[in-house]
Amino acid sequence: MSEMIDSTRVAEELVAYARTHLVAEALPLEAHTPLAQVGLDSFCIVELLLFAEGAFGVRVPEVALTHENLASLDSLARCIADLVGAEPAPKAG
Amino acid sequence: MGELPRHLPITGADHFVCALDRQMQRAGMPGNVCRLVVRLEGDLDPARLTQCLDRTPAVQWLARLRLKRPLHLLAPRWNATEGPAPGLLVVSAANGAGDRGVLPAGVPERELCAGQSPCIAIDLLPGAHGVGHLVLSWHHALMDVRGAELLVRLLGVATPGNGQGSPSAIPERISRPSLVESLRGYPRRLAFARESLAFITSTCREPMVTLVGSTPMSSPCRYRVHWFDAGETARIDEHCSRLQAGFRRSLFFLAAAVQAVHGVAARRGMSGGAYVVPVPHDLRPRGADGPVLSNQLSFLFFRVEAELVGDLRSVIASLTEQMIEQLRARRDESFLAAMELFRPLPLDFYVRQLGRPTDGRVATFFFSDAGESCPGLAELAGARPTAITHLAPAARPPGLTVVTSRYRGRLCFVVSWTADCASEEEIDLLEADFAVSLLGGVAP
Repeated sequence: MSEMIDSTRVAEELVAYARTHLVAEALPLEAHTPLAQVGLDSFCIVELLLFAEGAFGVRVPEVALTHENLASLDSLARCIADLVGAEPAPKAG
Repeated sequence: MGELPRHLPITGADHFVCALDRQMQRAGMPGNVCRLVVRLEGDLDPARLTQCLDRTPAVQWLARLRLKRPLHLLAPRWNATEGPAPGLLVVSAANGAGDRGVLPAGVPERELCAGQSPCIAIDLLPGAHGVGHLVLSWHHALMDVRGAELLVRLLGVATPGNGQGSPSAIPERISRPSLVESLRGYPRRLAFARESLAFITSTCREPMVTLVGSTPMSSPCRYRVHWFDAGETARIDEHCSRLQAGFRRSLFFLAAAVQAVHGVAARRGMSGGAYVVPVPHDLRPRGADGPVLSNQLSFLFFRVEAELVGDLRSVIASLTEQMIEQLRARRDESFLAAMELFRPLPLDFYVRQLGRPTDGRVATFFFSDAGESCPGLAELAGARPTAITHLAPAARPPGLTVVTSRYRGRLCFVVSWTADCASEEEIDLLEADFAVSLLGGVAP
């Protein structure tokens, strides 16, 4: 298994990205804020997934795009952390 | 807010909608004019609205903007005219709903010309039994639907905690690169724009389903409005969740719309081909207070092959994959680059280029999901809003536009079309099919 990653750290980075690129400055957004409440639409969710790809090297498969995993940035972070932990380690050369 | 400028450049997206406007006028239509209809209950107070208009400089400024090209082959820009503020508000007695209950009778077919007249107009129609309407009409070159909603918020009263501050009228950062910067960055922007055009040409390749004929019939745009009640809306949300499309609600709506349009095509005996749908993408941060002015948009382009239609889950999966791939490849940014690059083009030439790769056929239909309309708007002109309807024009080609929106727990869709795109009977069937698809196969 590849290096595990702390979901708290993932959540912090997702929050930072969303605050910088996706939501207005005045909009309250924390890791536990329901995404539906913030008004993040499908474009924003995809932008978050693409950010996670670049930052953590993992693509979230469609089967993982469930209501539960997308409830908040906390739940998305746990999903991403689980996927990172489940990635096979690269073979030694 | 600061002093409002006398001149302001337009964006590439503004110029793009002006090209659509020119196409529509050539087809004998009034032009790219949008409307927002707010149903109001209570004692309408026109004087209150007039006072609000008078004391809101941003609205007066917006009404004074005229689109002009300073010199041939320079990009057009907005110029604020001098002189007394134009009369924006018309108050007239409603005498029942016209046009199958869509636009209140008495609202004229406003032809708002971006170069010669105010680009916005407001009709206030007090009606019987404490029900009235406010209709905001605007030329699409001035603003997009989110801008129009922000403008309505400027004129109304928000619920506490929903932003009592005034939306900003103008973009905070207006791109005015120096000539050197423009020239230096030109090869990169040109390459970016070429990528976008290659992608669009590929997406719009034949065979593509198109309902509109090649010879335009001069006719106004028709609208069909469908409101679901709260219970039906809940069923639609449940259906969306069962399809695991909760975060992709817009794609769920789009998939259902594709199915409904497919029904029309199938009944005409059209087989094969693909459904091509451009979808606008609001570039403002979520929850942003502005800007009102200008189309803050890029577009994504979706293609659904006819053989996929019939299985909603498969269509949603295809649309999801396409959205992810387009955003991964930054297609929205490359399309923006293309639109920006085309700003100086004369409109007639631009229009000819728009449909060139596909002989004038640019899409099967346009689609937009406006989301929750005017969230937090508690009062307008002294009365309580009870419904908000988006009436987007049916740009022609393709002559068909579908818009979904939501207001206080109720979903709405509006189909706008031209007479040479579909008959009333076909729209009846499209409306029914769309509703059934959203509800999960059970008629409302």
